[in-house]
Amino acid sequence: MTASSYTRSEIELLVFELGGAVFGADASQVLRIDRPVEGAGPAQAPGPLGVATQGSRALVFKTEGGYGQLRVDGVRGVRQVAVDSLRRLPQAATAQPYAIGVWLDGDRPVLLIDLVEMVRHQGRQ
Amino acid sequence: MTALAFGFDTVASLTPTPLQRALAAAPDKPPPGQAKPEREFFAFRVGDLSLGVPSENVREVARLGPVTPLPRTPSFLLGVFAHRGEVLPVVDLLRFLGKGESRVSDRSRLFVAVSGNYGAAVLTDTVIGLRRFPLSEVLAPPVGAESGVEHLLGVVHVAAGGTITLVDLPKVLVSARQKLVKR
Repeated sequence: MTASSYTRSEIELLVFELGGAVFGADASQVLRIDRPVEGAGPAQAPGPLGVATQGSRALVFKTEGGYGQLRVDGVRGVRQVAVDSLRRLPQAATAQPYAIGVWLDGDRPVLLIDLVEMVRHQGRQ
Repeated sequence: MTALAFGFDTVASLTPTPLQRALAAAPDKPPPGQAKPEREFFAFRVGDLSLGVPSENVREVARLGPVTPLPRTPSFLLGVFAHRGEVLPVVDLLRFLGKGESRVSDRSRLFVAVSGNYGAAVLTDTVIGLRRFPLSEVLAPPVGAESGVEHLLGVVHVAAGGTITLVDLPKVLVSARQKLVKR
């Protein structure tokens, strides 16, 4: 999960599950996978990506103001994927600013999340 | 005798028949004022509705593959779908027009809609096919009667007493994007 693992043609994604859906994030953003910290609210609280069914794990990442965490239901692991398999979201599907694109896992689009932007967006709301 | 017969045949072949004369005088195109302008629509069924969209806005028909939902988007945007390496938003026209919601099943199909720089996949239950309708037979949509009427081009009556509601697809795509940007 370091920037040095990035190459021009491949990138590392951390693939996780939340609320029955699969998401991907830039692995270089994630500092560690941990248990949710105490006082982080109920596991089933609606989050920006939906409602976690278990919320038994948390992705911890650095933000502009410190550290952020995202409760997830499970972590599938780090996948090294070809840049060719990444797509920006189409114009007509402008979503939240933290939904930055998709990774084509075969014919299944996996939504890519910018974790830092997600926290920034939540702070603006 | 041979020469006479030959001469007779030659004269006969030079005299056009009434049909040949009529064909020679026939116009290549209908005279102005008589032509019925037509427009071709791609017709399909979704829910209880038969809908049509201008065929020039339809690129192809495909099977519905895995759809990835997008967080916090309007309900008419079901998510994104990968088709031949291209990622397209999947639109539920029923929800967009306020006429219920589509049901996704193994038999669901979608068509790839394009308008300018915008592209989208639109969910359907059944594809009817391409239909040409004289513009004079396109009736105005019922004003103010139903939601989403501003996105309709009109209604045409078809055989067996049915109707096909014609949807202004480019307008739908622009409006959908505006609704998403406003959020």
